Amino acid sequence: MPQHETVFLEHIRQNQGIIYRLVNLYAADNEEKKDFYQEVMLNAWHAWPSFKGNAKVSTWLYSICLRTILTQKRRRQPVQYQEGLEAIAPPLAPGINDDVQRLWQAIRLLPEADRAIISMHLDGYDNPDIAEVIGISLNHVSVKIHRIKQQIAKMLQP
Amino acid sequence: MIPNNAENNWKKIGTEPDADFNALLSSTSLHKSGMGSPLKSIKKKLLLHLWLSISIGLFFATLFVLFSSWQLRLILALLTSYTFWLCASIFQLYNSIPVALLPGITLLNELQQQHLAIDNWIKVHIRSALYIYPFSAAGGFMLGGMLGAGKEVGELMTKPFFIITLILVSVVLVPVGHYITRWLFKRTFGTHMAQLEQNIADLQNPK
Repeated sequence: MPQHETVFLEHIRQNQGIIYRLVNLYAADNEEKKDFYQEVMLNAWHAWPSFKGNAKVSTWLYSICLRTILTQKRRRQPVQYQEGLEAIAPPLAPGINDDVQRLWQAIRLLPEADRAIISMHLDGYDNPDIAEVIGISLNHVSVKIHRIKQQIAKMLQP
Repeated sequence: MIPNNAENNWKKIGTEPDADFNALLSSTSLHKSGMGSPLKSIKKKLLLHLWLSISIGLFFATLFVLFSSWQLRLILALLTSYTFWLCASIFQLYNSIPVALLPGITLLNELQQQHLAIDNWIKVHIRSALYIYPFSAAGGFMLGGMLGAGKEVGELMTKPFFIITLILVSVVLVPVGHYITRWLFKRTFGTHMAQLEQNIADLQNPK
């Protein structure tokens, strides 16, 4: 295998959690999950030669994932906002505690744009990084994160 | 509120092995072609449309040479010119669609660019339906009349029945062609475009 492919695949392995979380946040079912994985890998591979190292690989990959997933033509209607926290396929891996399961389900019920912002926030990105990847102002990011957290808190109320 | 340690627990998601994902971590999977993006699919269709349009343009040009009737030649000249202009538009749109995700583009820009590209693609089709169909219908009708009746177009045009039928064919076929085009577009891309518009609006909404 050529070295640049080895390096690329190693970076993907190191950041596979990002890909897993984003794909599973948006995929309606397992078939769509596989489609998303494939498209993200292909787009990341085609964009790799133009990555100049002026940002972290994880941030670059986040951008690729979001841009790929949110521009895909879906097999079926995206999940609509619902009142209650019902389990929505695909389920998380076993061993994840209940609080995070419920948080996960609540986030899956948010509008697609909001999922992108809150997942970056939970992955530890600063507001300036989020603003740069998403393409909105810093102030806008702060307002949106505050509002999304309020929405999630309301959904998680017993 | 969001549970305490949400960030730490959040990051633990995805550390378990995923068989579907692991299957892609190989060199062979990097060289497959994906078609999930509408733009990749449109780019492929644009190439096909380009070749079809060139063939049709050459066909019109051949008919222009073969038939001497000035009315038919006028219509064929208009059709040929418009067809080759359409080829240029298709080629321009084809080149404007990137093969890979461009560096430095934000999520919002990406959504907006895709929306614009799909919108431009459908405008090419709708323009064709409105500008080409009346002349195609008229030209086809005249040609059919010439070949069927064995008479020149000038002679056919003296018959009121011929002129009325020619007008009716254009009046019926043009809107039908236009609405069929719009319906096909809505069927293929309607849901996707609505989702793009929703995501763009959500990101641009300051609340």
